[in-house]
Amino acid sequence: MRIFSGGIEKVIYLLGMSHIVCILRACAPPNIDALLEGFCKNAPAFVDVDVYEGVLPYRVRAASIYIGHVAPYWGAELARQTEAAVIGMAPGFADFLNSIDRESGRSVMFVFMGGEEYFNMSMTDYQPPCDFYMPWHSTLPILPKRQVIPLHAIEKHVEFCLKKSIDNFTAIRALNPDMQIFNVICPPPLPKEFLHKVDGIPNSVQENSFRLKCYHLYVKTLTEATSRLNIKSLMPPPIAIDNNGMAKPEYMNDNIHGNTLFGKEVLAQINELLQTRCG
Amino acid sequence: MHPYSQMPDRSFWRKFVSDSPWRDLGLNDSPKFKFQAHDLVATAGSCFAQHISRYMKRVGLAPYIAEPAHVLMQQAGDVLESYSAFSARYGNIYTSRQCLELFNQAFEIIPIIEDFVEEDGKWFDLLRPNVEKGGYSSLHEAQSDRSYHLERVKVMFETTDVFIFTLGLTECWLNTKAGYAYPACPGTVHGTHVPDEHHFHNFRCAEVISDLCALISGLTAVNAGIKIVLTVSPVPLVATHTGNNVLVASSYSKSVLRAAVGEIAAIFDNVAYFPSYEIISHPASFGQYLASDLREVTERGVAHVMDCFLTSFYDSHPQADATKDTPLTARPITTPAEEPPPECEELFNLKPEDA
Repeated sequence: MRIFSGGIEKVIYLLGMSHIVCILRACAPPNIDALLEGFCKNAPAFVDVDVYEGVLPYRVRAASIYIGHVAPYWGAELARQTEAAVIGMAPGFADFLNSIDRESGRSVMFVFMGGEEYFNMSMTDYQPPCDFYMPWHSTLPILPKRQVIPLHAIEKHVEFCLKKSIDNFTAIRALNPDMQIFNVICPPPLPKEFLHKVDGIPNSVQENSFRLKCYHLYVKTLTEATSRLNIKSLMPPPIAIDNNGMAKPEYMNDNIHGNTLFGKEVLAQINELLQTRCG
Repeated sequence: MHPYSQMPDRSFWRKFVSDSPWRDLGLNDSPKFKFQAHDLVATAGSCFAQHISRYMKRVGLAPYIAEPAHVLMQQAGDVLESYSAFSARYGNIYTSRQCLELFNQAFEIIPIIEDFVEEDGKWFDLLRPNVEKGGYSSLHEAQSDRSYHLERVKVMFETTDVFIFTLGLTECWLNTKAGYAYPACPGTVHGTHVPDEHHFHNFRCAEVISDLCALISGLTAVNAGIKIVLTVSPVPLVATHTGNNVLVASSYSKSVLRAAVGEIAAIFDNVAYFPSYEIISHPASFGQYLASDLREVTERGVAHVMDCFLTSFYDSHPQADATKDTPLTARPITTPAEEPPPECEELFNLKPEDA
């Protein structure tokens, strides 16, 4: 299904890692499994997605840059910023980005990247146990019997963890300087009591408040970095978040990824953005 | 024959002191006990005490750090000297009262003393005014860090094999309402001096003995096998608030401390005195280890003290060579061998124009 606007074909690019799946499931027809399988089997490339009628207003193309999919073709590192004005790229990744239709105003991209960084922090059994204070989330306390880490040290850690994602964003922007790009933020953590267990063991070692702070820091770091690239961020739909700022279980597929319901809410946000953009 | 006839040469001034180079004197010739190379050695005290862990590291011995910097701080490249100057992050402990109150807080004998001040949006702990130089971002963060610190102090006291405490001062500032001791006069390092809230006190010998008795009794109760070494810092006062001149005030302070630790070493079998004060400050040293201000101790003097310390307490003793920069490997070293020179909050007692 292709929709034309004013005689010019517009294209929505969906680019991401694992967080893209719930969006595709929410917008694409039942052959989505074949699409996802294609991501696994074929060299990375944008492919057309036949979306449900009325779900998105333009042609949709999607690609996975999940590391397991791209590494056999491009290596494990897609891009690396070595200096402020220097961004190196895997040749395959550069070709991939060059395949985007850059005709002025025709394309818009939604990128679903990162998220595992804060989750990994919640999975790390830091010794000694530690915690930190975020002035802008002062209701999240430092837990007892934790070594207090200065915020700047945690921020550096998160920046380090996010460097690959940020470098990828930098590369995307470098090759598409005029395109409207959105950074779609992944959902916040599930409350510990709802975490899916792996082999009967809760899939997290950290408390809710610590995990939530890690998420907030991840969001702050990534949104600030992308903002410098003139990439706006799309926060998770408020309806999927509880009063404490954590993910509602009914919107989650597992401990970190949203489900189709979540994907539908994100699609509604994307539609709203596109209407605003076109309006 | 009389009782002195069988005494060794070191018992006689002429044979021991007059006829020997100062550097060759075995001033700690018969310590009450020895350390094993694997002993956990915890340190605390005035700024001079920072030399102990510095030199232990230099010769390949790892001082016990019960509150190390977290790996996330190390990865961030932070300046972490406050985590390695002593065995826990208490900063300089100048008085026996301060050390006793630290112990009592750690073991919940008294409530946690909370005295935090805000300056330009940052919070400072007046009981550890210099450990977080940039301040804490909130009162909650400062309180949480202190709570964690006290937990680690408790672990340190419970588990260390050796505790070395260097007493520095008798002059102290106390909180008038609650009675607790500050390491530095509020208003010097951080905070504001309020005459109604902070008052000066110069501990007398009986008070120091009482505090040390309580401290060592408490320490031995929670750690029966602990060996304790008391020393007196040879570094004179930066400033006095007694009204006496600073030289006379220093003499009082050091005399009281020296007498008190002598008394304590006589009372407790597990307490030994180490003569760092005498090595540097005794008139027979001719002041050879004093820096140009006649107060600071030169690196050569520190090396003499530490060489004497290491050779007397360890059977197989590494040399505390002041020029050595490659540590021997006795135990894993987790902190850099070379560290910044000791920091001294007492320096903040200088008049602003002299600072």
